Amino acid sequence: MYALNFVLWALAAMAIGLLFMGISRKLTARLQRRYGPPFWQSFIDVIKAFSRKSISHNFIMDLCALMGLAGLLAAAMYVPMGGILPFPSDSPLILILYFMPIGYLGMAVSVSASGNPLASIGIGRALTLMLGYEIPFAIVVMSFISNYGTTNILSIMQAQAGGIENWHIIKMPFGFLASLLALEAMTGKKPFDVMIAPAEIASGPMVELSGKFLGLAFLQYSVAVFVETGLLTALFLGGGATVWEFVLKQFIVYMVLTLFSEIYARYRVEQAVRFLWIYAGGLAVIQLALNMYMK
Amino acid sequence: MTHWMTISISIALAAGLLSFALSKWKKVQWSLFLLNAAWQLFAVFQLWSLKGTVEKIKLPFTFLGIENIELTLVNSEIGYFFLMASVLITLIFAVFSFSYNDKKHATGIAPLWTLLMGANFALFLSADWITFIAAWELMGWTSYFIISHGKLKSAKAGLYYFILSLIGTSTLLAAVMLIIQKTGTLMLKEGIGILSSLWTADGSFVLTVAVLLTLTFFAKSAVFPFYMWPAKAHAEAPDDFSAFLSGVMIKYGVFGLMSMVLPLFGASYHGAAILGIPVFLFILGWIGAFTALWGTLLAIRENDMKRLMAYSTVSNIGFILAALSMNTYFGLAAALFHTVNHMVFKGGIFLSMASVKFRTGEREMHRLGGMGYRMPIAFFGFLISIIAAAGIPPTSGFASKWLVFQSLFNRHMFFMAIPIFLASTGAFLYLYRGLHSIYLGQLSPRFKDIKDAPPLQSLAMIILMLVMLAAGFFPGIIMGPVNEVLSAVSNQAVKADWTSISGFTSSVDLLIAGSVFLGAFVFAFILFLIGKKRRFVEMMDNYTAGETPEDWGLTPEDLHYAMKFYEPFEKMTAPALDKINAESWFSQITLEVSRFANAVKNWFASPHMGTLVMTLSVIIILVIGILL
Amino acid sequence: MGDFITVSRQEIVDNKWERVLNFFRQRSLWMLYYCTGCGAVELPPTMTSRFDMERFGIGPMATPRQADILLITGYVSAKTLKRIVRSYEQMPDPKYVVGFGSCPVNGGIYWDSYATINYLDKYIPVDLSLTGCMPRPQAVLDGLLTLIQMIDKGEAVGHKKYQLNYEWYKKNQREVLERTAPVLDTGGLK
Repeated sequence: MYALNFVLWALAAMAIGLLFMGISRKLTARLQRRYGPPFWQSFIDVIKAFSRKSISHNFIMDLCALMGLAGLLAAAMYVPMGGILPFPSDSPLILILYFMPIGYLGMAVSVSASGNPLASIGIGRALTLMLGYEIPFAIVVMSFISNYGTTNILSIMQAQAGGIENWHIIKMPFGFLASLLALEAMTGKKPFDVMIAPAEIASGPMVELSGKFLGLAFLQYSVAVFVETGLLTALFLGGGATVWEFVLKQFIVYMVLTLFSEIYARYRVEQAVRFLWIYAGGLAVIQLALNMYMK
Repeated sequence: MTHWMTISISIALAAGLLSFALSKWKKVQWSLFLLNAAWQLFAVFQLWSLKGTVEKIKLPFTFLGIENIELTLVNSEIGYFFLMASVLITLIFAVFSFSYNDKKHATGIAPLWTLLMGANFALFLSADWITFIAAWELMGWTSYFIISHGKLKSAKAGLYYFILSLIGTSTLLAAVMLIIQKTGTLMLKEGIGILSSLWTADGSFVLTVAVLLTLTFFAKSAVFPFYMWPAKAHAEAPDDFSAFLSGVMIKYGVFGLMSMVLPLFGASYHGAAILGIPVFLFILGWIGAFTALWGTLLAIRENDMKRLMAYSTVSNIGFILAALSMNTYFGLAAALFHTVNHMVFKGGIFLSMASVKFRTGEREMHRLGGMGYRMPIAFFGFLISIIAAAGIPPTSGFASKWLVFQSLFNRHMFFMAIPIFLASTGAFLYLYRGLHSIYLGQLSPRFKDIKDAPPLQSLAMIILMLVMLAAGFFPGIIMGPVNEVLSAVSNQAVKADWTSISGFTSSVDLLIAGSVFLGAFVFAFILFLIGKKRRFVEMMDNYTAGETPEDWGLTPEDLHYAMKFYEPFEKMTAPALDKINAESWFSQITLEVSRFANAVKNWFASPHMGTLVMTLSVIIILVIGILL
Repeated sequence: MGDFITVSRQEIVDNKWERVLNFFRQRSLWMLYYCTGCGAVELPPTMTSRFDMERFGIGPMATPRQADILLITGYVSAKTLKRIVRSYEQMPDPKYVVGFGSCPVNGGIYWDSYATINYLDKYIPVDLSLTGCMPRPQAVLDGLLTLIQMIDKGEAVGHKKYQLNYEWYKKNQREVLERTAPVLDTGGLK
């Protein structure tokens, strides 16, 4: 019973993520006045990746590639799509925020074990960037805790029921802006895509991934997209009474992120961290102070 | 049998002295140490049901003309908790050390360590000031000699540690003398109890005593501004002892704060308070948060692995201090849980590195690399330990980090939680760097044929791994004893059962979370099997832009990226780190003192100056004599 | 052709299960962004908005491990051949090679040069050749679409030819690469 829950939810998370990635490629293409690939392109990419033979350097690379996807899937289990959770829990937000790093750590260990220095450079940059975006996001979460006294994401969603004026995007605008900036970095989109940086470090962590390893990395990215947009939707956009409403709001969030990403160039990693700490962090601290003193 | 405590301490001291005599047979020394550790564990199990018992030891001789000196030991709750944790961990370390100290790597520290275990036992169970100070001193100088272990560079590091610890000891003696004078009793608990009721009568006195005691425990636990010594001492100590230093010895300060400073601010404190926390503890909390942040920032720029882990210890002590200073039962629970967790995962990290050094003889991080492919058990020990250190489920580190944050949120200390969160996330950076530089990346051809860690060392590491995973899925293993301590100290216990903990904002069930993760792992594995076959290629067959690096004589060591890992981050934080440098402050103070001492010396150096000073002092004395 | 192993069409053409996977492979081809020669100047116009290669699912990828197609754009000097062979061998199966321009076909305008090779097909198996000097983006797109149809029919089996005739290809490669060994003092380099 639980297994079926798990498998369906995992497949849904991956499918939604891949769909978003495909549509975002189409949107980027239209912005650049060309046609672009069909919107199901990411599904084809993943299946093609799994259909190729692959190479691996050692057992650590295999094992930790699995850990990477496992961490993100475990985080996806706690995103309240449409108000339901497959594994009922009292503190889904904390579990999401702590399962995501294990996904990234798994991928980091796996690509380091491939022995390519470019991969390690990419991971070093990715971790530094993580320090940049985790702080504003954590401060925003703390402002929620200060307001509601709980991290139960379902009750946060219910507090936004009853119309658009109740959504936290109106009630906590600074927090929303701070999380949007942090989310741009979390999904690795320009101007914060320094960890991939194809022209500089030959796609960074993915340099030695081939075949099914690349497929697993793609799936990990798609689940990450699902989790992160889901977080923003649940916290600020009122969640969703049904699954379709939730997915639609996630979609809008991801398209806004894509629109921003196609305009800007890439920040260096210390510029990105400084930007996130000063602007996103500043907005988040303002929000925290407002929440604490308006209670 | 009664008198378990006295007997255990005597056995430890006797075994230590006996070991000194047997210094020619190192293996016998280490077996004595192992047996002592096993006996101590047995005694601790016997003491489980004997909580609260008191043992008095009458010293049979007169000391400096004082007769009837009586040492008291009490099996208190907090003391027993720390004792149990430290004795269990030491047994695992003893198993490791027995195998680590073979002919090539043997250091002569076994007798000193055995004595130190006796001091450890006495310190946690002491009931009067004399026993406490005696144990403190014994612990101090045995650890100094162990850190030095006969090498000049290590001796310098040991001296640095010893001098900073002397600052602590002098403030301790000052505080104890003040307390004994004021309260008139030698008993620890009564003295602190009397003091805590004196806030209204003589508040400044209690505050002075609190400050002095806090300085002692800060110096011992490497809290800001005493944070520099672990980097020198833990790094230069013998490898198996570094685990004990970082795991157990650093906690003596935490124990002191918990049992002596915190009770002063109990129910009878009605002084100034911010958000419900006494001002003194509020400042302590901020110092703890700052220490956590500072330790992390300093760890990120380190190149040497042991120094990096020493700064990580400093950072973790900051977490414990911040949680402790919340002055609630929740904060106490978080501090206790994190103490135990830190012992286990730091032990895992240091033992793993010691195994690597045992096999390769190399200590510099950037000269190693790829050890994980040849030493999988050491690699997994290290990996699970750093997952616990980063506070990620399904290991035990998650529960303790979560409890620390919950205790901060309980008191609405959100701004204090920001540096704590920064430290917690920054831990990823340096932990990953250690893992990559030593265990991943390219394997040097020099180490192509090294074997995995020897069986006893592997056993020690596997036991630690299992403890971390078990406590990760079933935090009740540790929460049970913690709740017992809490119910004895504060009448409230954290709501927890075997698999879940209830906090302030929510409860988390770790077994379900861990099972979800395992289920996801199985799902990913099925996906992995669906894909097409993979073949293994060697490490040097890598993407190097189509070139063949061996053509230019490039070796795997050149292709291993380990130096200056976080250079952008270092450049960003360099200005702050250069300005706030406690080591330079201390050196400036010592410089001024030595200049003054030189000046005084010069007064009496030349005959003319000497005559002048003498004449002036005689004239002044005559004038004063005439005036009075 | 020496001991080039020829096999029957049934053995080398993809079987039914592979044909199902070919449906996905043909719609998502990733080319290695390795510009081996002068013809690479025609790649950016093909990828950008006017001719838009991405609508067929073809996109550039950074490393051989991730790429499906290796484009040999232009003449192949003996030095470049060494790198091409290493990149080709680092790519996982199934992989496709497209020869751009006339030079990989028969030497092109450099047919009598001592530094280039004339028939690329002797050194790595070429699935499709585009003639021209240089083929314009329209020709490139036409060629890639032909490659897609070949994959669909299961005819793009260069990687299997390489495995079956490994020794023969290696012998040819060795003859050329020995020519590139330096004759003067290398000062420590090989």
